[in-house]
Amino acid sequence: MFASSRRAWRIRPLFLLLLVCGLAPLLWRQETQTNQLALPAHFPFSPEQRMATYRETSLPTVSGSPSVHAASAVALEGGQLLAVWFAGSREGAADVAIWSSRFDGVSWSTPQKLADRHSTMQQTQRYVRKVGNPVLYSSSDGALHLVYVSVSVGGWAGSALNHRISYDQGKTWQPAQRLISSPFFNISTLARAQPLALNDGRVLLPAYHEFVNKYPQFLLLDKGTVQGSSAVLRAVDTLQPAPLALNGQQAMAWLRSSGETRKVQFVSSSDGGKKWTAPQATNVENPNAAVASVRLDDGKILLLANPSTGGRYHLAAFLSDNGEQFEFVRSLAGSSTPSGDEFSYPYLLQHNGVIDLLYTWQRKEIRHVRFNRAWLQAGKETLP
Amino acid sequence: MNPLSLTDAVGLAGQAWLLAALSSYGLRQHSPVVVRFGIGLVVFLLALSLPIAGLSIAAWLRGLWGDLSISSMLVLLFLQRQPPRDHYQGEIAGLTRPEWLIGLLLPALVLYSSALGFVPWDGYSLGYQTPFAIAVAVVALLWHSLGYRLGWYLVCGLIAWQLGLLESQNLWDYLFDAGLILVGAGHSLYRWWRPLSQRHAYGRGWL
Repeated sequence: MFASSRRAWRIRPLFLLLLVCGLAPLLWRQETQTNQLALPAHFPFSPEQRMATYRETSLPTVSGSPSVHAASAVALEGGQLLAVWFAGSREGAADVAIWSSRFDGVSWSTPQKLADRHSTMQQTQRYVRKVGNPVLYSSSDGALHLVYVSVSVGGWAGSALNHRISYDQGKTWQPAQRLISSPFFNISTLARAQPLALNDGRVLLPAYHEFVNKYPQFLLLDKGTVQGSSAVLRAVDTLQPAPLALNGQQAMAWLRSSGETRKVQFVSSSDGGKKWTAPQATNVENPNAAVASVRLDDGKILLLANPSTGGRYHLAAFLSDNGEQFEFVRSLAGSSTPSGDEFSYPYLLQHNGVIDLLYTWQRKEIRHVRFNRAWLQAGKETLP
Repeated sequence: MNPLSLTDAVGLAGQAWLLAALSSYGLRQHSPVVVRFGIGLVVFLLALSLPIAGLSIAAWLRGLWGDLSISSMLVLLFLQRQPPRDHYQGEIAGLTRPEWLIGLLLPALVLYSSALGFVPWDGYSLGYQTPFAIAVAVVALLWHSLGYRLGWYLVCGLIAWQLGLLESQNLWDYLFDAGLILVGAGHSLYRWWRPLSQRHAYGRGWL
C-alpha cells in the first residue's frame, strides 16, 4: 500500500528541526504525577455550637425572571457569602442570566448580573444560545472562580463550560473564557457541584457528560484552563458528582442517578481523584435529582438529597460514617408525602462552624438555610 | 470591548479561513488563481469583520462547531493548491487516502467512542500527557520517513500545541477535530460506494 519509488525512507532536515522544536519544551514541562487533595479548614467545636441554630431566608428575586434554579456559593473573608444562580423566564430560555448576591451575615444584597448569553458571546467570541448551571469556588491564592454552562446548539447535552475569575472577592470579574473539555465538538460538559481543591492551587472540578451517554468526569483546572481530566466511564447513567476529600489521597463522590437504579450512587478514589471506582448504590433513593455533600468536623458525612423515586418534593439531610449507608436525620423542606412541589439542587458549605445550604424552592426562589451540627443532632424524625 | 486573545484570534481566523477556502475551491473550475485568491481574501476579511447581530460570521461558526484543528487548517491550505482539473476527481485534499484513514480516522473513532461513553476508557486524558506527545512525534517521524504528508500535519499540530495557539491544552484537539473526521469519513464512504470504474484515482499520490 505504501510501496512507491518516491516513498523511500527519507527525512527532510526541516522536518527534523520542527520535530525537535515540538519536543524540546517537553524537557522543561513539569507534570505532577500525584494529586494531593487539600482538606477544608477544621473548625473546633465551640461552646456556642452546642446550641441548635437554624435560620432560613430567601435570596432576593430578580424582576422579570420568575424561574430560578441551581444556586452555588462560596464563603468570603469576614464570614460573608457570595451566591450565584440562574434566573429567567424559564430554564433554558434565551433571557436566562447568571445572578449573584452577597450575604453579610444578616441579609442578602440586591442581585447583580454576572453573565448572560450576550456577554458570553462577546467575551468568548462565539455564538451562544443560552446559559445555565453556575458553580462558584475559591482557589488557594484567594481568587474567586465562576464556571457556568452555555449552549450554542441543541439542549443541555450540547453544553460547554465557561470560566471567569475575580481577584477582588467578586467585585469585578475578568472576561469569560471557554473551557475545552471534550474532543467531540467540545459539547456536553456540564458542572453542578463545588470542586476538590489540590494543595498546588489547582482544583478538580466535578463535571458530567450528557450527550448519547451520561457519565461523570473530573476536570483538572488551573486558572481557567483544563489541564487534565478523569472520566468515570463505568458510571453510566449517573451525573452531577458531589465530591469531598477524606485526606490527601482519598476522596468520595455521590451521584445523581438517571438510570433504572433510583438510588444515590457512590464512587471513591484513592489516588487524589485521578481514578474512580465503579459506582455503588447507597440506601438513599433518588428521583434523578442533584445531591450535595460535606464532611462534618466529627468525620461524619452529611448528604442532602431528595429521598424518593417519584419527585423532588422532599429535601432531607442524611448522615453516614462510611459514605455507603446513610441515616435519615432531618427534613429541610417539604415532606415525604408525594406532591408536585420542588425543593431541589442543594448546595452545601461548611465554614466557621456553621453549615450553609442553598436550594431551589419551587423554582421561584433560592432559599438559604444556616444551621449547625447541634440542630442536626436535635432532630428525632423518621423517614416513612 | 475586550482585547482579543491569541487563541481567540487563531480560532476566528480558522473559521474565516474555512469560508475563504471553500469559496475559492468552489470557483476552481472557472476562475484563474489570482481571481480565486482575491475572492478568498475578500471572504476571509468579511467573515472576520462583517457583524451579524453584534457578532462576526466567524464567531457564529465558531459557536456552532468549535475551533478547527491545525490539521483542518492545513487541509484547507492544500485544498487551495488543488489544481482546477486534476485527475484525482472527487478527491478532497487527500482525505480518503490510506494514511488519513489509518493515521487519523481510526484513532478518531476510538477517541470519540470513549468520549461519548461507549467504552470504559478515557482516551482524551492522554492528550494532556508528555508520553502521548512523544508518541505522536514518533508516529509523525514514521509517516514522514515513508513520504506521507500526514507527518507534517502531526508535527505542525505538536508545535502549535506547545505554543498554545488554540484554547485547548489537549494535543488531540490540535491533531484533528470532529468536523474534519466527519468530512473525511463521509467522503471516504462515498468513494468506496462508487462504482469501481470511477475509483481509478484512489490511492494515487499528489504530494
